[in-house]
Amino acid sequence: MNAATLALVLQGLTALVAAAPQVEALVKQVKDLISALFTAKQITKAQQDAMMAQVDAIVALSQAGIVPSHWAVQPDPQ
Amino acid sequence: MAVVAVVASLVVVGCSSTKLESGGAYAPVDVSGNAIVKPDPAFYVIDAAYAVAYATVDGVFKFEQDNRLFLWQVSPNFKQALDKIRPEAVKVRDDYARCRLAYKANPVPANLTQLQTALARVQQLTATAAALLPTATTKTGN
Repeated sequence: MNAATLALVLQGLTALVAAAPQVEALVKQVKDLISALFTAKQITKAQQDAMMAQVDAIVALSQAGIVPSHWAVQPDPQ
Repeated sequence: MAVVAVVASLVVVGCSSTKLESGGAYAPVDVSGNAIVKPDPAFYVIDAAYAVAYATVDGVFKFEQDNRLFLWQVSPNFKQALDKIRPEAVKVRDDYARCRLAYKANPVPANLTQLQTALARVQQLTATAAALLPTATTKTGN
């Protein structure tokens, strides 16, 4: 495994948590991910397939040019 | 710099023993069980980090939209600050998608580096968005 790549990815995750420690869901996700990377002996087939499907779905949105309404700039409330 | 060194050493020590189960999406095999391509743990880690970052920025945008009227009354700054980020978020999402497609089509180190760079932009933007969230404070009463 490329240690430099992983170090940079983990730096990014650490920065995320440092920037927003109040976002409990984010902190939990990052902890779970790092824990899985460091404690699991194996990333299972099911975990891999779920991850691939999750990111494939995001990429499909992008390819289709779909921008969710909450990602778009909308008029200010009156 | 010390943090970087610690993280790097943890990666070397900790991740070296983590394997991808054969047959998964990041370690595909053919019908005979032979590896089609070399297992790609770096790709898995980058995608996993991206999924976390994407879910976070998506959650921040959704939180603002779902509570817009209330938040606007408290302070218009929150929506206005997120509105500056929203177009950039779409752009970095699309950049990541483009780099990922390129890497999947041609998984060479140069394309992995591009994907990693795209992830770094997403993470930076996500940190900015998440940091804008209102901070809740709790009084202990002591």
